[in-house]
Amino acid sequence: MSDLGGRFASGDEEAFTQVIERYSRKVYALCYRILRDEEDAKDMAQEVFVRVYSKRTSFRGRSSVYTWIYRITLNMCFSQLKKRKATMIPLDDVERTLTAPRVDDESKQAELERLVSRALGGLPAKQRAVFAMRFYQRMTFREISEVMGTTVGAAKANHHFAVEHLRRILGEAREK
Amino acid sequence: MMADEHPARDDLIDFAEGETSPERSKQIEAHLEFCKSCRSYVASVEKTLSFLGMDTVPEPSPGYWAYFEQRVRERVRPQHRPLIFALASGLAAAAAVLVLLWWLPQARVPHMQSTEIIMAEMTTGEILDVISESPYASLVLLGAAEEDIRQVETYLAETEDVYDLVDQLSGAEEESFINSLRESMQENESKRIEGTQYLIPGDGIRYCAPLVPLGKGC
Repeated sequence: MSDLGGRFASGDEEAFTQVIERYSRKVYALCYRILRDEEDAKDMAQEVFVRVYSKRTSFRGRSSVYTWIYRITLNMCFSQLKKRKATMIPLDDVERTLTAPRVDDESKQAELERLVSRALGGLPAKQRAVFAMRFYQRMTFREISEVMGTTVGAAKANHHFAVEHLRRILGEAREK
Repeated sequence: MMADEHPARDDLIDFAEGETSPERSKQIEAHLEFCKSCRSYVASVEKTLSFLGMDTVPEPSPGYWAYFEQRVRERVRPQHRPLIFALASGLAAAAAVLVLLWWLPQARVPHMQSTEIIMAEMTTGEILDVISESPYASLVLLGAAEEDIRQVETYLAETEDVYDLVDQLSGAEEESFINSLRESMQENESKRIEGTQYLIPGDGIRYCAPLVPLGKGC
């Protein structure tokens, strides 16, 4: 177990502060990438650290603190998505966005950003999580598989599905 | 790979992301020289990835970060639960496990001792319920491989969220996703306990008859 991990698991308050300093921004970013809502992500990031604190003595050091926190983050975000009961934006809605009239370059750019955001929000939750960890947080597939509790192959497959799904949706956008 | 052989799309995605080995990259580049459809696919993945780079995470106000730890700590101050409640919930959990252990072999399939037969008669929903109620006992009863049970124990020790665990064991839809899991399980097959059933993450839980190779009898 790493020094920080050991102190953290033994209930050292200073170590918990360090854990927050080191990982809170990354956790917030991951929450946002999965939940696609700023306020929800802000609340969720705090909830994650409340959970991390309450579970810290059960951290065994079999994985890194980082992996352990990410696993908690994913589980909590997935639960939140289930509560929302709407993890997918219907494709029809995305397509409707694509046909919105374009006025000038600035609005075209804004439209594209909105489209990208909606396309990401339309991914199934696990693909969204894997894609976020891989593409935006530059994690290796091995790290992702440890966080997800799956094989490296499964993490890769989820990533490839996500890329293909996004390619299809954004490709249609370009054609229109 | 022969230059006229189309690479798999997974390979092309890896190539577009710069994740293929130098040797593989050379092979793919040679193929792209004359294959218009693969070239167009790679270009379309590259374009997609460049669009996705536009997606940014909104930065919360400085106040959010300044008070982040304070707000977390306010939430984690110890809340004392009356001892009687703690005792009652502990006893209830223990009782539930005992009832479950009794109920599985006795009530579902009288006169049969074989776990395989018991599980074969249960629906996926019932099995998920059993795992949710008592993950340790039911995984042992299901004959999960020792390695898997250890993984589950690690997971539960760290999160203690059984429903999330169950969700991870099910829920995937894509055929090739399931296949990739199967392949990985086949690699580990030698480590598994012979003559037992395995939990297969995929679209629900499937069962294999004893000693039937994974991927064929499920």
